[in-house]
Amino acid sequence: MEKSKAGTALPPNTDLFPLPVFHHARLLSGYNSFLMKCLIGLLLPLWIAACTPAPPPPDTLVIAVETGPATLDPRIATDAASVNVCRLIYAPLFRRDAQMRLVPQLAEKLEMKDPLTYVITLRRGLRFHTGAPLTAEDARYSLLSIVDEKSASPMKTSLGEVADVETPDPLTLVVRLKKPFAPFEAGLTFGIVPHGAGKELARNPVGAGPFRFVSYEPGDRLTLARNPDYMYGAPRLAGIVLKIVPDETVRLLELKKHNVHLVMNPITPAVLPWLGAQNGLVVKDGAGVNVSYLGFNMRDPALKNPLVRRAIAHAIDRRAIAARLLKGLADPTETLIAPPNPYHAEGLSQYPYSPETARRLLDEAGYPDPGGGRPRLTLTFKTSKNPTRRTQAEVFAENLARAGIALQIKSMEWGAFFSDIKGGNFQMYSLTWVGIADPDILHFIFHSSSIPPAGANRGGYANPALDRLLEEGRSASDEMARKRIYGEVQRLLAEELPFVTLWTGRNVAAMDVRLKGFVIYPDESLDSLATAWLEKGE
Amino acid sequence: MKLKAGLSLLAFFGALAAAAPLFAPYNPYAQDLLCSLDAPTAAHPMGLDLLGRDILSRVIYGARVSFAAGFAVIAVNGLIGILIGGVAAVWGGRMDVLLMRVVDVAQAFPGILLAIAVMAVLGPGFGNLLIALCLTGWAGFARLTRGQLLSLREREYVTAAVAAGAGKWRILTRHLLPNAAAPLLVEAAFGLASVIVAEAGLSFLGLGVQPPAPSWGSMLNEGRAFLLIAPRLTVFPGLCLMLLALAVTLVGEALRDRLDVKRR
Repeated sequence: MEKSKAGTALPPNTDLFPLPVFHHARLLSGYNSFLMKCLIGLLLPLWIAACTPAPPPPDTLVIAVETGPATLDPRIATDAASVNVCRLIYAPLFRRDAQMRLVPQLAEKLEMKDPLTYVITLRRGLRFHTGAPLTAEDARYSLLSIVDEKSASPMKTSLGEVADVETPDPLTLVVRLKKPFAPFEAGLTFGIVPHGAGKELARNPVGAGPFRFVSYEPGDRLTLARNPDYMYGAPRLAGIVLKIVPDETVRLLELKKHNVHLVMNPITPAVLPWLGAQNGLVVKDGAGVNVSYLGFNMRDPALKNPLVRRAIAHAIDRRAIAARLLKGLADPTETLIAPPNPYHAEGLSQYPYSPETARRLLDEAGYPDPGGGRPRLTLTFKTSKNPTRRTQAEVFAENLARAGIALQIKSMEWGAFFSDIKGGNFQMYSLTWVGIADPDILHFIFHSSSIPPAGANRGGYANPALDRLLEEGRSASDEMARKRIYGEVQRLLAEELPFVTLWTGRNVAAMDVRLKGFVIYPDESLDSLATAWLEKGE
Repeated sequence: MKLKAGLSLLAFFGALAAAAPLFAPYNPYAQDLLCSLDAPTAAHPMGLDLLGRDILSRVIYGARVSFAAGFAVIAVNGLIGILIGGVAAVWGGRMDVLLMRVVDVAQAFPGILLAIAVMAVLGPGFGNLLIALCLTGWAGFARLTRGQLLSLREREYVTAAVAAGAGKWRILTRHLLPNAAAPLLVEAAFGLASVIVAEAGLSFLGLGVQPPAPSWGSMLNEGRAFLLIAPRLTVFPGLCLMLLALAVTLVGEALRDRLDVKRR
């Protein structure tokens, strides 16, 4: 507010340029009148003061993020920003560690009495940020409010069909399912909310996580303070400030000026070497679980032919894109279940870059070279307006042109683009699946019953053999059987190619060297901030 | 002085746009990921972009988009505006009131915002961008034409033409419009500058020509992420955009100085 007031008082032909020193010099040289100088002398300090926020207290970590969380209710959080913040405020029964393994958090142990009955024992002495005890009753309430018919929770299907939940004592939770649901344990990673918590939780969150909520000014900043009673010991950081800075260049400049301590994905890969060379900064990267892919519409006469899809897979030079365009911050993959996921299958069909093979497959599929430099096949590729996506689309178009396929790019406003994708109104598109953990997600993406609006099978892929395997995977109870089934699923998908999986993006973090103990999780979780600290001194 | 500077700059960009294939040293679409973001050399005076494409060639081809958009939109806007303004002035009465209210409405819309909304409905693309820019741009022409004609209408030679039995259409096209040409030309020149900037703005937002076709606006957008390491990606298209808008504005000002009797 103050900033804009000072700004309007400046001479009319100046704007609020974010470089005060330069601005100052230009103003003085341009306006010689004494009065003007006085005015500027009066206003500039005010303006600069308005631009510089009060420094956060020491030991408070400042993270610059692109967008703020949409909600602080862990049950309905879908966007990455909300999910990551909720994980700091709320504690789940089980969480995934940096190797994507499930480890107990609020729970002490989980027992499967039979394929339909799970008994969860909580740790003793758990408390919410308010000081109220956290009991099995709260866990029961949290679970039921997720699987409730009316709930809008994205995790609704990740717990299977729950018949009932009992709490024989304050530390024990007994969950009965209607049908066996093997990925049940993986579904227990939701944050526990206090019994009876309603919609107000989204604005005034109360959890049992390492940090408690202080304040949130949407569009500006979110402030958290350490939870001194955290069950695994109080965090060393006094608090966390998420500073919302929509522009990447500004985020990085803030980091360079040490106004913030940490910036995570997305960072333009080509800028990282520059960033790493700055004084007092360090850049780290780690494996990710977000898989980029090319999606096809199976209702399209050309694309329903697997030969055409294989030709496209061979035509795209994924290795060159990963190495040159993404500067090595992408690991090419043949499956959505990418390493380090324990269900990752090896020995899948490979589609090495080869325009010749692509042309031969197109010949076989009935798209011969018409000669005269004309394309064999013309396809439309829809994408958002994001510059990175547009650039990738340009490379895909260039790659496919070598195989004789003309790719017309349509770069659309995000809302319009995503509604076209969900509505099946596309030929080809590219997107990224985020946060893949349990392979049951493949049911949501490829099962014929998951065609929108029921799921995310946007291309309308239907394969009875695959459907059968995905159903078996749900009901199989032992680990070995699931691994075998999902290995089979991945093999089938790699052969059939309803998606061409491109690469898993590596997670990147650029941080102040003073930040110690920060670990990059594959799912971008900020869990390690519970134990990280800021070293003293400049 | 202004006219000379403006015209020579305009001629320079005009030549670049018209004969882009002759001036561009490389194919503006040819990618080479191995040379991604290479610094300027003698062979590539402006360096290479993220996909290893020659920036100079892309800037030269980008001039085509700016010129095509500018002239097409101004031609359409001018035609619609003159027609509506002319009809309003010559027919007068209720017709005048009605048409001028339509103009008021058109001028009340924030042009760029309306264009963005229209693009969201029509979808992105160069053709749709032209349509979006033509939606309200004619209003200025209409108002100006009407104002000019209302004052010209009272001249003796018009009265004489009426007395001689000339029809309204003949008076409009033979007697009124030729005499109102000068201010309209000036309006067109200033309008051209704003259309060129508006096209770049919409392309910057990703709504204009679709990739991989080069346009200065989309080059600015693509280069934005590299401001810290390769400002040349944004500096050159930005500079060209500024110079072209400057050239057109200079020409417009010079025309106004010469043609406007009141100002001399």
